[in-house]
Amino acid sequence: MKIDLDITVDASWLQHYRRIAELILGLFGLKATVIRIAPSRSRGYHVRIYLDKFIPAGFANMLQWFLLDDHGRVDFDRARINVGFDERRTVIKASRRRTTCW
Amino acid sequence: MRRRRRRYRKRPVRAFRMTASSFDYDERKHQPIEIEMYFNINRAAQGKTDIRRIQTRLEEKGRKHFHYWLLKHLNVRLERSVHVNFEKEQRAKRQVQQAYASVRRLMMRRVDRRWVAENLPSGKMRFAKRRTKLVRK
Repeated sequence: MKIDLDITVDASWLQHYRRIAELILGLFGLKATVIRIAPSRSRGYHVRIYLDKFIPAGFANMLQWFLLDDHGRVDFDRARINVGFDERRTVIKASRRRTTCW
Repeated sequence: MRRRRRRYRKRPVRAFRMTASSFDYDERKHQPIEIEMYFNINRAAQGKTDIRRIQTRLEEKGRKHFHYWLLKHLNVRLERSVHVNFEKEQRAKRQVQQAYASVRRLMMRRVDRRWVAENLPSGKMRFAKRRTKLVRK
């Protein structure tokens, strides 16, 4: 999963974010193998979470919403998934919401 | 005299995926709409130059197809620009080149502060001419 955080915060907050992400994933019986947080080019961070299991696109979208991904993008993806566009791949949305990764 | 045959290296076939999208406003329904088209094609490409060449061509053809299809099927004349983006190309499952790109189309509408997607008919776009076999008479 890729999560886009549009705010720059202290490093200690990011440590808490990691822990909370693990807790949220644990609630759903999932485990993060790797959590990578990298500063984005413009602002904020890009978080990449690698999971131990395959999860369907709709569920991944909900998890992204829980983990504070851009809400507009989550709404866009929800609509796409509802009509069957649930390929597990990096969908590069060219216009408003640039990158989605399930 | 024996003629030496040129040996061609078989180029790997890669799957190219492109997204084209644009916005418009539906005056009758008073709704913003967003149209997306997803292009998939398998083409042989050896290095970066080949990849770049195919991407440029796909972009050109994709933009034209986008405008043409909307005008023909939805009667929408786009005035805004068409945004195009590529995904990283991957090795194709079947190592066979395609002359036509498959196109999947989607329309998003803003209804009651939520985005609602609508599948448009999918189809294909011609990318390259088919090779014709030369037959000596």
